[in-house]
Amino acid sequence: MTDSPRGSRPLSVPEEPIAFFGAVTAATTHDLNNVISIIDQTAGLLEDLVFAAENGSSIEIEQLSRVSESIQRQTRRGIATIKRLNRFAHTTDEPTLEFELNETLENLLVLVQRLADRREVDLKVTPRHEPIKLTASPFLIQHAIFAVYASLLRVSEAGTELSVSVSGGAAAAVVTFDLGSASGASPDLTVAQSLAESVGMRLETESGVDTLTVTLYIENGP
Amino acid sequence: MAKATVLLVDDEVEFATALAERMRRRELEVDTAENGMAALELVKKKAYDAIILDLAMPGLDGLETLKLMLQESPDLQVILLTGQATVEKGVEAVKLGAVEFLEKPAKIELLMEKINEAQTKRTQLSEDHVEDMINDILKRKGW
Repeated sequence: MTDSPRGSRPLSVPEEPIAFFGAVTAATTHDLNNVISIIDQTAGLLEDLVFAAENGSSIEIEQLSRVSESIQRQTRRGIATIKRLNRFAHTTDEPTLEFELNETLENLLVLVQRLADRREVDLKVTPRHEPIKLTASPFLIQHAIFAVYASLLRVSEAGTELSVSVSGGAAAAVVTFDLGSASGASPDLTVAQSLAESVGMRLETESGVDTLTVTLYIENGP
Repeated sequence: MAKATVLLVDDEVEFATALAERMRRRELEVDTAENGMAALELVKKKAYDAIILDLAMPGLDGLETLKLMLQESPDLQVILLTGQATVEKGVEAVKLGAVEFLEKPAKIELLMEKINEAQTKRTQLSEDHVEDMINDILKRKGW
């Protein structure tokens, strides 16, 4: 399913697990490529400064310091992204396992934040203070969560806030998506609904005057 | 040839800052913009020899920006520089009027080569326009 709400930027709601994995990997590797490109140009600038110094120009310590800080900052950004992608990839290790919902949700949404950024949607994630341990397939639960996320982004307007919060407890967890204002079109949640049901979750929507709330209820496994 | 003027459009500010600095060290006059809207404003005010444009940006993306820029100034020499270099995107960009589609990370030497080509083409187009205008005047006057 593909839509193009603003110009040439399609956003898919992946039905198949492999397509979901691909969507997350594509968003993340694009970000990593940006990190490497920044380091590449910054290292090139360092080379230019050395060349200039060899040819009699003085090197400004402040500029060297800025270059070094940029390389370090981007290296840290790259490492953090790789760790998150690695954590995401390991959620496919077992069909069912015990995992912490807040951490898993936050990890996923940070990885795919650029999809919201590109649509100028302000994504806010509010985890529950206490951990919520679930026994289920973290990968399939993330797939359903991503399907809701992508479906809402497709109808979001620039400047909108999309707030994702976690509540509930040991017996059942609740993930709530609040979209500040939709473009007027209702999101097509068919894929999200089907994915949620396939892993025993319940999906409900509620429309306000200018708001839209989608709630996922996750029953804890045995 | 005069110093080439370049507009570098990229939402990764550190990327644009480093690349702009390297280009200035190679005698180019470089402006930067963080998004498509800011780039369009600059294009309205100044004649650039080459535009280096990122594809994936918040708000107007590279292809949308490209379309609007060429509507504003059809002779613009736009080089897409992107981490999303797929064949489909490349074909789409060229169909829309981009002169090059390069993949990040790109070597500065390659970018300089493409900017020089863009400047030559831009100068040629300007000269052609002047010649056309003169021919048009001569024709209308019956000379």
